[in-house]
Amino acid sequence: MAWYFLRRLLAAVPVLIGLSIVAFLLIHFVPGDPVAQMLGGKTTPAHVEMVRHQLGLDAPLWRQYLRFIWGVVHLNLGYSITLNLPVMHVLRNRGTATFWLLLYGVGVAVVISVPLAAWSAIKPDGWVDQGVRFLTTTAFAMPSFWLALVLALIFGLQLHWLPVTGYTPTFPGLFVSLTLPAITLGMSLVAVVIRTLRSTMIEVLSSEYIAAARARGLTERRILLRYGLRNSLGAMVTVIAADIGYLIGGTAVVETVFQIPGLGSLLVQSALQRDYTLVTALAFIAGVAVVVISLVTDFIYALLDPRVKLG
Amino acid sequence: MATLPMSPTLRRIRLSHLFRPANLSAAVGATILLVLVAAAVLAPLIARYPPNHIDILHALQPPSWAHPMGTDHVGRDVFSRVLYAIRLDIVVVLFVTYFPLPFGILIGTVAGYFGGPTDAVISRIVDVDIAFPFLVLVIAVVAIMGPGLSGAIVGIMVGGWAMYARLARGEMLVLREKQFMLATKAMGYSHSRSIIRHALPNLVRSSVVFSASDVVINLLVLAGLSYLGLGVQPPTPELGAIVASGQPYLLTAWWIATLPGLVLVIIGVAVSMAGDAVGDRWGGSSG
Repeated sequence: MAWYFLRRLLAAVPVLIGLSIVAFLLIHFVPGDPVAQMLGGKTTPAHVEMVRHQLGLDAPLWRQYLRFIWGVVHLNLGYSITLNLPVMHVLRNRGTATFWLLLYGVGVAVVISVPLAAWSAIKPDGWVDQGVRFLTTTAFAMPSFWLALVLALIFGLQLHWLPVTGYTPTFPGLFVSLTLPAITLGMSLVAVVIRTLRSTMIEVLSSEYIAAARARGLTERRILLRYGLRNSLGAMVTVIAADIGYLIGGTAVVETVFQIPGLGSLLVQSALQRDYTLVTALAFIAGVAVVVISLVTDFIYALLDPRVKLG
Repeated sequence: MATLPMSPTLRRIRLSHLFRPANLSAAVGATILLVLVAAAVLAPLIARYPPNHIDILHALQPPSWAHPMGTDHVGRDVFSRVLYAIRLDIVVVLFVTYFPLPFGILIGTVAGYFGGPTDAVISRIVDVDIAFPFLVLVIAVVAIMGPGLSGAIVGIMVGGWAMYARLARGEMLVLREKQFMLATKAMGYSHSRSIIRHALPNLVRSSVVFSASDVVINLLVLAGLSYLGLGVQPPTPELGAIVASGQPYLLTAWWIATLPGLVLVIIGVAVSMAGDAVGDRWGGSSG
């Protein structure tokens, strides 16, 4: 088991190095002078040179990369010119909102998906299954910015049930202010989760131990929930972990629509204002988050399910 | 008996075959797509107003016979703008999906065919490309190239080829152990002949099936970028950009933001339905 963990960990190293190289090189692909663009129109050549030196962009490329890695190791991701703050400081301030949004979003996706998938797996190709399939197709094709506006229009502006914008950082309020954003984000995951869970459950429900359970006279309800659903949840966890990158990307749109001060809306702002230090840091962190989450899921999965091949 | 007359039961079976849910949804999807493509091609004939025709006196009009989707805050006919937007969205999305597709398949096939260090290098590059969340990577590319359509196009393609490479590599690993691939080696065919003439035709299918959901995702990303102000810039009509332009008037003029978004949903559903049908027939999953 320890050997398996170590090998998975080592396999992630080249990907992490690759992520750091790509993120580091981003600023060097900017057509023209990135420093002059970041500073905008009103600046002098002397000032540009000074900032270039401050950012270390006048050093040889390999030294710049080593400095970037050195910074990453020491949790220093540079300095944002547009915000006039260290990048780490900004990330720390804005990370919590995104964290709760992601967690809440996954929760919403699970709460919506599990009953619908179980219901449609009872009778494959029955009318419930057809209905759910149409629902997942629609959910898959729904732009989250549009769903956000429709939800805001109905539940915020018309019914006044939930706030439309803003974010309350403390607890009960946090739950309320993130409800519409989390539903929007969760819906983008619902289609894949339902499809995976449904097909796994159909497979499980046709296996021999289910037939044995039926022969013993257990109720259909018990068979579905205790045997079918339980043995399908692993597949659901895997598909959620595999699509976490899709969800992280989704925060950029959802946070912008609902004006939540998180990392996603920060990425959009920094792209619009061409703050390359921030874009680099955010892209790198998003990539690392995906790698780490998939590692952790694999580990938990291996611990919980002894059937996982460790070879 | 020269020809068997078609028995009533047989005819009924054929008719019911058409109305089997899977075939019905394929037919519905294909029909909607045809209508949308026709609308896009014929946009200049169907649209009653030029897409950027400003008419302040008739601003924020609700949907009516004259303006099926109402008018926006400067009196532009939303329906006409949507028609031109469908045109732009369909063309761009088909390009960003199907231009990188052959490159992705070829790169993945080469990796799977040669194995060893070639495979190791290509696979790591693919891993890194896929590890970045797609939308984050696209936004980063747009940040570099500057907001606009060209940044969005390059960004989506930079992220898009890798999934096809991973798919083709996985299939190639299985394929290269097959008799006919071993035979190409035994007969002394060149690598390029083995790959292009014998391996590739067997690998295209699963990528084409997968591409249907890729079209939907790319459409959402393009519209999303334009909504955020990072993609197609106003006043060029693009579905996501039109939604963004209507957002400030959500309460007073709901039609500007909601109806073009509904068109996006309809396009995506139709593509998925048609794609699922192709997937069912060809095998493989469409995601």
